[in-house]
Amino acid sequence: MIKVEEKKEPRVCQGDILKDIEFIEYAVEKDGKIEISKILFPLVIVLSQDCDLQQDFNNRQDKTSLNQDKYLISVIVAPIYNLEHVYRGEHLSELGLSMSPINHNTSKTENKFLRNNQNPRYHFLEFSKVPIVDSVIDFKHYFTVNIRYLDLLKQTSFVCKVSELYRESISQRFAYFLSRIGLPELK
Amino acid sequence: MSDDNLFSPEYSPTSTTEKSTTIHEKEEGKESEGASFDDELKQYGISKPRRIMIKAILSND
Repeated sequence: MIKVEEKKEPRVCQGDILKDIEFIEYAVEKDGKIEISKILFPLVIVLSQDCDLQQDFNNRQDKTSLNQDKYLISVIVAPIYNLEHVYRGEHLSELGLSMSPINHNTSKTENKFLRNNQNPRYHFLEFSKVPIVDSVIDFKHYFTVNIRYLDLLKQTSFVCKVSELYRESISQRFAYFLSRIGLPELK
Repeated sequence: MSDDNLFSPEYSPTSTTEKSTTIHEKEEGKESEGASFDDELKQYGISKPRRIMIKAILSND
């Protein structure tokens, strides 16, 4: 079970869970025609370090600041998928992608690893106070979002915020996932 | 498909429904706000990520 807070802070925070966030795949303009492809993620979680987000907010608020040294360009987020969809490997089926299924039987090792957060790629989320289905963060699918876009969108897209300690745990696991080293099997 | 390739290189932009319009038109295919919240089930996280295509023609105004 994960602890969340429903109070919305004025700035983007680490651990914020936001709905309907867009990722721009590409934007092309040619001969007066524009084509933009974007993916709409129903739920994402903010993974950027909270101190960086705080400093960005303070720097932007401070009109007397001599520079924009603490500005962030973008915020790291990762998608949150419905656990049942992940079990069937169908969570990206709307994008035409098929993912490896995971055994839904809770007595099986593969499932236990997922739920106990022993699979480095995923982080299992079970909510109590907010109406979010059992979910999984997929660290492999992280992407970035423009900070100003996210700041504006937060006003209408904020769902809840993962509480401190729990959000640090997620952040630590994400950092481990990014820095993992796969050693080749020596023969 | 390898799970290292999130976006298929074979994906064709013309494979989705498209309609040329002026730059002032909004994107098509987007549901109303709160699309990720299922009103019937009263829960978030029911729906899956989906792709939205925008095609427009720049006006000469």
